[in-house]
Order: sequence, then structure tokens, then C-alpha cells
Amino acid sequence: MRMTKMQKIKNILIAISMILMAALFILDSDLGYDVIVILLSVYFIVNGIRTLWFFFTMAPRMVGGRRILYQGILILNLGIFTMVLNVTPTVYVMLYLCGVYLFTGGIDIMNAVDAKKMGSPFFKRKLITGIINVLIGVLCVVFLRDTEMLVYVFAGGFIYKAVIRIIATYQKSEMVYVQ
Amino acid sequence: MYQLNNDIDHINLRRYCNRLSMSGLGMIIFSVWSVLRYVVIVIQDKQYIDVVIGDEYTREQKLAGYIVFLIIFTVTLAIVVAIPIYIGRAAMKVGKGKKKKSSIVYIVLTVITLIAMIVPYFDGYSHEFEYGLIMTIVAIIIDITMTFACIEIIYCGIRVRMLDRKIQSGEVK
Amino acid sequence: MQIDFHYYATYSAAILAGYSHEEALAIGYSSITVDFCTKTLLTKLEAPRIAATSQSQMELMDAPTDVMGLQDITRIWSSFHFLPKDLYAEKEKCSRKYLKKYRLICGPNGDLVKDTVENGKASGTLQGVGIAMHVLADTWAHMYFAGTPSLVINNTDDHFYEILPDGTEEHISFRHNPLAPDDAEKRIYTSSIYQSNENNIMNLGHGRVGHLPDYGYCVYKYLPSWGEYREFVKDNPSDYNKAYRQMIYAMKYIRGVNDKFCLDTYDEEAVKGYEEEIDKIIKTRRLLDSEDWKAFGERLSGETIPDYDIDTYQDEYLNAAEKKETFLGKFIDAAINHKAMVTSKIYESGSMLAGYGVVQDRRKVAMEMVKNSLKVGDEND
Repeated sequence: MRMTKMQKIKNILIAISMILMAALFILDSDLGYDVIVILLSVYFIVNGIRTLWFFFTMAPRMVGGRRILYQGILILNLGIFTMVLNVTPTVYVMLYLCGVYLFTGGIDIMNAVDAKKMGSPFFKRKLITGIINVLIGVLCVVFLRDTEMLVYVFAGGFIYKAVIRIIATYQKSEMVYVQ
Repeated sequence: MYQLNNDIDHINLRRYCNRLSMSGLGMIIFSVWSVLRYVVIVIQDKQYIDVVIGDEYTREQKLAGYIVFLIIFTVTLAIVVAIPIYIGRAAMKVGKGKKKKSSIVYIVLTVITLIAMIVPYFDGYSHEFEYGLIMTIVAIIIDITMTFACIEIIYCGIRVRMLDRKIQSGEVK
Repeated sequence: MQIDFHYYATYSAAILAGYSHEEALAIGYSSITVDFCTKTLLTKLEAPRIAATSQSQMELMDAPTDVMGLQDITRIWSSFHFLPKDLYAEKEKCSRKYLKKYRLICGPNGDLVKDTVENGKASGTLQGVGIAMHVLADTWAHMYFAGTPSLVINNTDDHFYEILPDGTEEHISFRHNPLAPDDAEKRIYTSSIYQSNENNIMNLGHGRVGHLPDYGYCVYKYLPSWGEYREFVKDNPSDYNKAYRQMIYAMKYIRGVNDKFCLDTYDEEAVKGYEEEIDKIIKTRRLLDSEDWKAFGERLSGETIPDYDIDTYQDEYLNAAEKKETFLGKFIDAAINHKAMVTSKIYESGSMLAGYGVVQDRRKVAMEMVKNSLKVGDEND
């Protein structure tokens, strides 16, 4: 999808921030672990509040909408609980990362296969992205209890996503007009 | 042409059955989550167990002590969580039509649970400050949610009973 | 609806509307191609991806769900498969955000159906007619769902019952196994997984009830997410019969037999003598009725209907110097035209869910501006 100048600048700034954060994690792995846990906690809290906001604005009269209310409260609670740093074992964070990377990688590979079946020449990038995501997911499982490896995997993921963001920003449009 | 039950009583019955079912599920999830929190704290914080067992034992005795503690702890939690799970399951069954809507046992148990949850707050009990402010906030949020779920179950359970009786007797609006 | 209705039934409707065998084939082919014209296919053809009329499973899974991604999804699905019935519908006590999604709910005999048929006529091509017939037919099959990812509109729950001819009701259940085929006898159908995220792809269209709206035999009642616990009946046999008759009526108007196209009007005259047979095909308890519709169409025209093949016109398009004059070139043009029309209407109603709408004249101006800016080297939108 083509981007405006503002979107491109925003993308580059986000990518640079991600690379800087990744460097910080690698230089100081203890601090990196604390930051990762805080980030996760903030993510859950924000998600919880968003879910609750969604319930009150969109789903109060929806059939089965109460489920969303309880979900929001649970996520919010999980986020606040995660903030208690000394009770978040490495293994939970690793499992969460593993799940995210394996799922994303699987989707990318299936999409690449689909594109190849249709005869599209653009399947290779998707396939490579998918394989890399799956490999990172496998690394998470192999080093399940290793705090330092968790930090390196997280930092690696940040750098990788930053690079993808930069590539996507400067990718030319694929639109061709019928003459 | 097709018989649709879209009078206000049937609509409300479906609405309250759905809310009852969801509240039951919420009750189960939050009681399990409540228990999980304590389990994680105990597993992470061995000092807690050391305080309970005491310092004057050998390594093997302490190990045996840990195991006994964990068994007692697990059984206690299981008993504590069994009641909300029973209530939650009963509410879900009534909500989904798998149990008689006239059932009242789970409503009575919910009232008792609600009283048991609220009374300590009026008893001057300072809630878990030994684990810090954040854990206290977490616990209070859980308690508020469980209270809300209990009130929902009681209210929806009673409404479902009344509406079902009304529909069965043929007094439909 | 599936290939049985969009290809074979549309072909037979075109024959009954007075089209020749070749014309009816072109209409039927164009109608079903709406379900297969994805961005992946268009990329392979080196054709404008803006003409996409559908998205494959994998494209959907990979589609971004940011604002622009959602607009792209909504443009495709609302334009071609879930044409909104009333873009100015009102609902009490709801937020503006909810109301915008509510207004995208699909249904037959809305103002946009009229616009679609008029557009099909104005296109001057059989491909335009075919696209219009696909969209019209889907307004009957896909009613009560919206062509935008939305949990609060497209979700359902366990209260789902088939109403049998004798009036009894049997529970319908859904499972999430895409490899297992739907079982009409046991009433077990595959649907998408529940996802609580409002904009998740699983909440697009009728994904939460699988292919049930596309089976002509089924009469069922359920609680749509937006229905506030009211039961709604979906009488597929009746709806499919009406869709068929309305298609004939619309095509007769496009051919110039009728002076105007009125909503809620069905051509009973054209199907005289065939009502029972059509009804029987629709009501047969079977997941796909292609064989019967094909036999019916072949009997009407006296010709053979070839099986649908997505590759049929691709070489012609790839090798042509003047792509606009090829079969697929005309299809692409008609698709872009229709999408622009629907997107504009949605935009004019005050909703940004399908993005900015550009009406025909402004679209030409916009395309000119983009072409000129590309020449200069400035890629800013």
C-alpha cells in the first residue's frame, strides 16, 4: 500500500526507536529483562482498557457482549499483575514470544504457498519472512528458561521488525494501469 | 409464516439466559485466576514457605515440609475454588438450557459467597498489604469483579425463573 | 452463493431474460469470476490490483487490519458480496462508530441494488451485467451480515435452529475444522473461530456461520449479534427463488425489454412452467447444485455449458496490446466502476469505513493526477 510522506517519516522514526531499544537490551540484559516485562505489562493494561472501552461503546447490547466485559477485566488484571516483576518467570514471557512468532511465521508460509499456486512471482519474500519467524519461535522454545537468550530474542525480533518496516516504507507501488 | 418468539418476555428470557451464562463463565475464570495468582506467588517466593516451615530442620526435612505444604495448599485452594466453579457451571447450564430454569441451589450458594466476600471489607480487614500496593489493587479488582458476577448471577437467575414461569403458564405479552 | 448459482443459475436466468447462449455464458462467467478475482490473480496478470473483487483465504489472513487495510477489505466485500441495504438506517442508543457499521448490513431491495443494476446497464458490457447479477444475488443470500470485519455486527451464538418443512426445529452446530466438509444430514457446519477483536478477519461477513447462507435448501432462525436477542429467520429457498426472478427482471431491463427497474419486483412470467423444477433444485438437501442447474441451463438453451475455468481468458489478456478490449479487460473495468460507485455512496453517507469515495468523473481526474505525478517522480498520495 502506498504511503504519504508523513506515514513514511513516522515509520522510519518507529524503526529507529526499535533499533535503539534493541541495542539497549543487548548491552544490558538485566535492565533489558525488566524493560521487556514492563512493556508486556503496559501492553496488557492498555489492551484491557481498550477492551473495556470497546464493550461500553460498541457491545453493551450485543448478543453475548458480557463476555467482552469479563475479558477486559481479566486482561487488565493480568497486566497489573505482570508489573510485579519478581513474580513473572522467564518461561511465561518466552512462551508468549514463541506463540507470537510461530503463528506469524505459519501464516506467512501458508500465504507464500498460496501465492505460488496462483503463479505470482512475489511469493519468495513472504516465504523467507515466514521461515525466519518460525525459526525465532523455535529458538524461544529451545532457550525457555534462559533470561539472557530471552533478551536477545526480543531484541532480535525488534531489529528484524524495524528492518521490515524500513523496507516496506521504501517499497515501490506494484499498481499497474491498464493502458 | 414461521413461528418466532419475539415477544418481550421471550426476548428478555434469552437476554438474561445469555447474561447468566456469561456471568457463570466469568465466575469460573476469575476464581481460577484468583487461585493461580496465589500459586505463582508461592512458587516464586520460597521465603514464604520457609517462614511457614521454619529454620530449624535439615535439608531432607525441609524438602518433605515443602511437599506437605504444597499438598495442603493445593487441597485448600481446591476446596476454596470448588464453590465458585460449581456456581459458575450451574449458571452456565441454566443459561444454555441444560438445567432446569427453576433451579435455585446455585442462587442460594451465590448469595452466601457474596456475603462471604463482602463482610471482610466491613470488618476492618486490611487486604494483603504485606505484598505491596500493586498486589492489593489486583486483589481488589478481582473481588469487585467476583462481586459483580455474583450480583449478575443472582439477578439474572431470579429473572430467568420468573420469566420461565410466566411463559410456561401462558401469560406471554 | 456459490458457483452453482453464480455461474449456472445466472446463465439460465440470462437465457430466460432473452440473451443468447454466448452472451449468457459471458454473463455467467463474469458473475462467478467475482469470487475469484483476487489481488494475487491480478498481480499475475499484471492488471490493476484496485480491480480486486474478492480476497483469498490467505490474502485475508495476511491482510493488515490497520485503518487503511480495513478500508481495503470493506471496499471489496461491501461492494461485491455484502451490498449495504440502507446506508442511512437509524438505530437508537448506539455510538456513531457502531451506527456506521450497522449501516453496512447487507439486504435485498436497497437503493444500492438499483444503482448496481443501472451501473450494469451503463457499462454496456456483458461483464458489467455479470458483476451486477453476482452482487444482486448475494444481497439475498448474505442478508443480515456486513462486508466489514465486525464482531458486534457479524457474530452469532449457539441459538441456531433449522426449521424443517413440517415446522419442527433442529439445532445447528458449528465447528472450526476447515478440513472437514459440512454435514447437511447431521447439521454440522464449519465456521470461523470466535475472535474477540472487533476488526479480526474471522468476523468478516458470514464467516461465523460458515457457508450456511450459501445453501439454498436451508431455512433457519438465529440471533444476529446486532438483533438484541430477537430471532431472525433466513428462508433460503424463498430468498433464492426471489433472487432468481429478480435477476431475470434486472437483465430484461438491462436488455431494454422493460423501461425501468423497480425494487421488490420479480419476473414470474419468464419462469412459468419452470417454477417447480427451479424450486426442486433449490430445495434439494445438497451442498452444491451445479449439476442440476447446469442440466437446466443446457435444456433451456440447447447448448453445452463448459465447466468454469479461471484460466480461460488469461492468455488473451496477457498477450493483448489493447487490454481494455479483452474479456478480462472489460471485466476489470466494470469491477473498478462498480467498486467506485459503492465506495462513493458509502463515503457520501458519512462513513469512512470504505475510505474516500470518488465518483466517475472525479475518478478520471484523480487517475490523471496520479499518472502525471508519477511522470514527475513524486510518489506522494
